[in-house]
Amino acid sequence: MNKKYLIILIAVIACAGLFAYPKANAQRSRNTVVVSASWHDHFFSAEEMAENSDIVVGGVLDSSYTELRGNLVFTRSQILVERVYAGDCAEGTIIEVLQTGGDYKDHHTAPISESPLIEPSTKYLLMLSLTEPDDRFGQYYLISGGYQGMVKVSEYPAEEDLNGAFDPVFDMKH
Amino acid sequence: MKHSMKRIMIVLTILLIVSTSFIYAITPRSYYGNTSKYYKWDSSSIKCYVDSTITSTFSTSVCNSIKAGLTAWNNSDAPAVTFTTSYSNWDVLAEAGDYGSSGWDALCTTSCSSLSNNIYIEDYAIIDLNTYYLDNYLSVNNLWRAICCHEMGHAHGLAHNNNEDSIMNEYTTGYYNYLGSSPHFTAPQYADFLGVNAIY
Repeated sequence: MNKKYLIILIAVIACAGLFAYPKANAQRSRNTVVVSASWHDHFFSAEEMAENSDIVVGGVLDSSYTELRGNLVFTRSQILVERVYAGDCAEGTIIEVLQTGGDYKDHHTAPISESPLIEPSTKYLLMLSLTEPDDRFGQYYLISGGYQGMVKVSEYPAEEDLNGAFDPVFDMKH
Repeated sequence: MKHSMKRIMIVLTILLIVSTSFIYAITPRSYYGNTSKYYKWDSSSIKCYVDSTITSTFSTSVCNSIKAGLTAWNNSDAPAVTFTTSYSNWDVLAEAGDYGSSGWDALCTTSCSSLSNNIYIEDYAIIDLNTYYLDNYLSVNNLWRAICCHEMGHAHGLAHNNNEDSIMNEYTTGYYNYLGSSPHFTAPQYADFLGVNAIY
């Protein structure tokens, strides 16, 4: 009987060790860049984020271009809106979403780890906030909660299932 | 005798599981989280250059708060941060700019060039402060200190977490709530020391 529990204890310790100890890896990598942000806004649920967003849409990348602000490159993604869930926006229109990261001439800024750049040929659900008009940069949308308001989907969900589609964002973090 | 041994084994097992889970839950992750990859400095001290975009722009009190935040990890096992006035030999560059409405108050870019046993060795880190948002809080010196402490945490290899008692929370008001009463962290907390000391 004692032996059985001793074996269980050893197994638990072994599992904990395997979990915590870094595996040996002889690979070498060059110029790995990690970018992290201290986000200005943050939400604790999809419902709260939806209430504080200007529009909630489904869309795909139409085109994109980059710009330089100081030493940092930003990407403006033109999103073709295919589905509107909330806000003043029409299906078939193009909206502009700004994200940090991209290439501009000889400048390169890696995207923020939590907020990879919007990819082509991919459907996204987006909760977006419209920025204040700015003489230098114009007006555009930001992803609500920094990165929280963007999820990839295979199909756009029904309206009643919208918030549930963002669950992975909040489940992962909380 | 057999029964008491059995009870001890059960209690020990439960204690082990609970304590492991607890430590895992409260400890800030390295950048590569659960994949067992880390990045860190391969040195006992690093040099930080505070750019003129900070020193020529902000008041002495804000500059001092920024520097205090950048050196806030010096009583941990992370490399000690010292300041250099020479642009040619920095490890960490701190600069500020008006990046417009970007969604972030500050950014840390870390570049690593080698990997050995899943540990990336850092070449340099750049900390950018976005004055578009932060200029509204020029009188809140501790906010600048908190943000620079947070970003230096990234430079030392820590990732975000959702621990309410950590300077490494992913959003600014999560560790320094300039809009409310708490939290008001300006230095690494217990969980942060656990995290960074685990790396170094």
